[in-house]
Amino acid sequence: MSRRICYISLASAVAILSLVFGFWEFRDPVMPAESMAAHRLPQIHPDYTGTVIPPNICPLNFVIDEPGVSFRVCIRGTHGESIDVASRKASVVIPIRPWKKLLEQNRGCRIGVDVYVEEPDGRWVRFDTMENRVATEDIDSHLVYRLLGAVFTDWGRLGIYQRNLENYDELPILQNASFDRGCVNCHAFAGGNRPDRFSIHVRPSAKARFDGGMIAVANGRGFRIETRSETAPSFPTYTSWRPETPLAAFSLNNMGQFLHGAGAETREVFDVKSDIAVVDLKSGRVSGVDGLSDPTRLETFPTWSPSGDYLYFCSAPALWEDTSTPPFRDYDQVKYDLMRIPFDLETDTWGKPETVLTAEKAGLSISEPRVSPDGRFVLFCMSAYGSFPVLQASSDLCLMDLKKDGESRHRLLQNANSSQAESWHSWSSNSRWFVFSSKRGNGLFARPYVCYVDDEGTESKPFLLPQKDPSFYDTCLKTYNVPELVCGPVTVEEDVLTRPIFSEPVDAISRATRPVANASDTTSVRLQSATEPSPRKASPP
Amino acid sequence: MRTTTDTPAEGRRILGWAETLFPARVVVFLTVLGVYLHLGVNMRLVFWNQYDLFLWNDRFARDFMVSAGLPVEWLGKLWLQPCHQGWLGALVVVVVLWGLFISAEAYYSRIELRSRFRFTWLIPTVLLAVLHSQYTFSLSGTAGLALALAASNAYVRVFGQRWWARLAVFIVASMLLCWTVGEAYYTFAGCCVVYELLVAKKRSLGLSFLLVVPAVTFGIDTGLFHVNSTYLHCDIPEVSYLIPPHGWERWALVLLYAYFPACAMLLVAKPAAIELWNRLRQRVDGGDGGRIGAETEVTCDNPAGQPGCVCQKTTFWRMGARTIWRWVLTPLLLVIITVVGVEFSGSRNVKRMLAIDYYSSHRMWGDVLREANGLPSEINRDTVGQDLYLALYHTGRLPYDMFSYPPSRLIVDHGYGIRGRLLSRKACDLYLELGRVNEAETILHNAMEQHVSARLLLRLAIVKMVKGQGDAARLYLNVLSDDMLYGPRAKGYLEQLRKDPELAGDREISNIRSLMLRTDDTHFVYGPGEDRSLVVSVERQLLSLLEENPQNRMAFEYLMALRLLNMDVKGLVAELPRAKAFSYSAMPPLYEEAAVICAVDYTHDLVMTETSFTACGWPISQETAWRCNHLHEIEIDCRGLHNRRAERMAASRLKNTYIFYYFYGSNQSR
Repeated sequence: MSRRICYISLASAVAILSLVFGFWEFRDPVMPAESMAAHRLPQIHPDYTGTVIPPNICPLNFVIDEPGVSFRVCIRGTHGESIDVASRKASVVIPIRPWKKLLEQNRGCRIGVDVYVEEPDGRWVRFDTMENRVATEDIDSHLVYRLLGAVFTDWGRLGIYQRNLENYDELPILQNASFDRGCVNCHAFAGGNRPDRFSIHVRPSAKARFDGGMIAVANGRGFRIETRSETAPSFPTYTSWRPETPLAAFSLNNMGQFLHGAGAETREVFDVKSDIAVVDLKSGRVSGVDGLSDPTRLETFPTWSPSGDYLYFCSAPALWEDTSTPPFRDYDQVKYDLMRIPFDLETDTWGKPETVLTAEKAGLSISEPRVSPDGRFVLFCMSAYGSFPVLQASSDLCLMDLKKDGESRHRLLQNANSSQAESWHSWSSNSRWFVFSSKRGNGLFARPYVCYVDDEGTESKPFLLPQKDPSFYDTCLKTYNVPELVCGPVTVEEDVLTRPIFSEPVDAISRATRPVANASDTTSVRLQSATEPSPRKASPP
Repeated sequence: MRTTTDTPAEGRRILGWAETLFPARVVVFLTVLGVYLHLGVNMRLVFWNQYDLFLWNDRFARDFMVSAGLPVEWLGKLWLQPCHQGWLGALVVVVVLWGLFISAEAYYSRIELRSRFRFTWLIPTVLLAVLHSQYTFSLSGTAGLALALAASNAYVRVFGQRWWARLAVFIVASMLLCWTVGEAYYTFAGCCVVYELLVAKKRSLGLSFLLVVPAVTFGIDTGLFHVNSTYLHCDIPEVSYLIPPHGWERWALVLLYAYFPACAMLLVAKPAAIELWNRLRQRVDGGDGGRIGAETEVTCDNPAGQPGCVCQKTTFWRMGARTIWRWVLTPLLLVIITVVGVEFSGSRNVKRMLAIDYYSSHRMWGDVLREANGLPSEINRDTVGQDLYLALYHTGRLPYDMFSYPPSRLIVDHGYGIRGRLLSRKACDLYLELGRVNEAETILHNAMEQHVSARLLLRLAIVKMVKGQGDAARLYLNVLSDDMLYGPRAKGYLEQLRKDPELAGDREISNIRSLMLRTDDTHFVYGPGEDRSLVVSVERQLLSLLEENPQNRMAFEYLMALRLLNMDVKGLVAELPRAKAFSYSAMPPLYEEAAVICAVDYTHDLVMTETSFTACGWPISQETAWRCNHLHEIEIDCRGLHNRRAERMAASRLKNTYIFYYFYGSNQSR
């Protein structure tokens, strides 16, 4: 009897203590009644101050880099209830539901963040209000990117992942552990940022049991398309889907790589040869285009205009005739022009290439052009030389307004650029946002940044992709590569992508079974003397 | 007032407990093993070989939770930490093995009361002793087995007789064990099946267990695969030791897993077999004499292993001389078998290689040279040669004694970090010391793609600090600050970076910076290879360093060593003027010998007077002149240099000289 009473008493005590603890921990935090003004903004990281944020973004959690024993944060907008957060740690994790509600109520308005820090002597310090503006336009809900280490000449684990920007959910789309540790890269989505039609490229590792190539996905099915031929042995690299038609332009880059003996960046990657070809995903026919496979020039980075009337690309004169020995001497003299070529779908004819902006005029090499979905802007990288801006700290983002003419037509995005490399940008489907990879912060690992552009092309200060753990990036040894905005989640299972990797290539999404050899016969891309470098030696990040 | 322990019954009970928990033979074996592990094996080298990274945070632990068998790997890593202290590691191994043996004996005593189960521990002791003598055997293997046996013991003792309760307990325990200990789970499953089928005689339950096992394994694998595939940033940890495990170790572990259930079967079948044997003997002999097992049959109501059950066990204190002999002889026999096993396993060579790597990494150059003396021929010299040359350089003996040791590669074939952790570590450290920081960085990054380790992270942080990229260094140090071993050092660097972002006051960083190459020499060091790949010239890398900093003594001595090894005496003589930048009291004899050979073979610039002897314009010492004279005498005596007799004579008179290497030694190195 006494033992039973003992047990009941013990259980009751535990329950009461739990309730008290729970109440204490989860009670609504109260902002300090008295505080001392610091007359400055608080030190926080990531930097979420003075920026424009999408109304559908997840909470921007941050760490307060101010010494203190207790922290209070009050987030308030013009409309709606404020959000109060209390923490003994410097990490501020904002509850997601009130945050979403607050942003929804404050579209187009400002929200302020007040930070209070309790000093060891019990006094509270209040910092100046950090202000951000909530845009009226949403950002596409998902971001697809490749995660990999600071790859040098070899790679281990890598994969393509998707992140829901409205919360913190992150899921793999394809990890290389599923296919013999091969390389997966350069995912490209169909026009309108559709998540149901896209392509990726896979390359075999040294011990791989597959050939590699382009994997296209449409209507929930994946197919491997053989784009290589004896005369064009390179793997496809950068791909762009023409809007509303099963036509994709892709580049065939024969890359070289070497290491610098001194300097901040140890690697150098350059195109020994490159051309652009087009694959008709319906018939599986791969064809070259006269203006896109000039043997005297290096053509790369194809990207369609939203109407599909033009294919934009970058082109530079090939400075070396003999590609059997690495062109060391001139690698830093290659500068790419921005060009475009008209295309008529009805007659299936290509026009003459036109120069949009020369490297000579820009003073720098142009790469990775992307046309905004509304067709008004072209966003591209400008770097000192070459076509691998991700390895150059000099690489900055530049915006060209296609409605304008003259000198003011293009300008560097001062608010978005940093002293480190900016590259791999992607437009949202409403043309008001773009995401890009930037190495600011550490100079080695790229992180995804979100930037707002108004309808006149004025950019705001970009902000780092928020994470649930605000100190996540402090220990993240992965680089975010090719972040691409898409309108919804990629729903295909991983095996839909891995199955075609190990199967025979199918040359059309319509599942026509015409032999690929025919397609190769029609290829007129000229890479006769070039041999494919060892796939483990060059991995274009 | 009398305490309970005063009564003889209580005393016997405590003695029974002590004998159950610390059986004398187990204590003797573990004591001998513990001393051997500490003194003979050196647990620090086990740690050195196996340790990669152990972060004391949930993100690191999470990676070990998403695949079957990985939780015990995490436990193994945790238990590896004390090995850094040497004796503490030996103690941990002993404690784990004690748990294993106690669980096994308790399980055996439950399934077969009358058995003496002495034979059951012979094979495991030998196997475990041999396995733990290997620097490549993970503690997680033993830990998993100990957990499985403890669970088996708990299963056969704790739970009631209702079949559904036993089935439920088995399923739950199976799921837990399959997840935590991986393959060792089969030991638990086997022990339970043997118990139910042969001891409890519940055949349907035993057979249903056999169906549960594959179902649980499949279910756990499938479930965890789903969890794993939806996890992000989750790297399934892989074994990546400096020296990888032997293939046979895995089979030895599998044998151990299978051994305990098999032994249980034998124990259960033993009385029946003895009975059968006795009946046969009776029929043949027609009497009762020589009946096997007669002396061991003791009836007892108490289950063995329970406190107070001492009636059928012979206590150590009541043993006769014959028994004591047996107690002494058995461990002795085990030790002999174990020693033979260890000898054949080749762990001594592994120890030698690890010791050299350890001493080199800790800059204990004298110890490196001591260990490198008389290396057995089975050891690949390229894996230790680089440390040896580094030790010779740091002790100032490279231009004097480099041919006192068997020649090997000056710079290991590191494949820019993809040839494993051991070679990556060596190559990275060498490049850092030479001042070729970018090469070191590339090796480190590539090695990181293979496997993340604390040492790589620390070196990457150092490289980034040397290059003045404090933000990138901070990233690596942030990760490393949770490491149990390197954490304090990482935190120290972070604090230093906070106070002095340039780290101008750090001696190690400043030293590397002072030698660091600052002018890109890509055009100079690269050349086209056979295919379109690029070939790097080590010689040109060293020349670049010297061009930029003629005071880089290490680059100079390595360049000269490289030319000596390549028998490029002309090239060596061409670089001799650079020696003036260094404070050699006299020209090192190896360089003098090379100059003489060059003068004889190529330039014919040999001048001998009564007071001086010069070769290629460089004065040659009397000692070197004598050595050259010896060679000349051998040539005359043996009518040429290229015959066996001349080689034998040269080996005795010109041992450890460059002359010998030039004419004969290079063949040996090949």
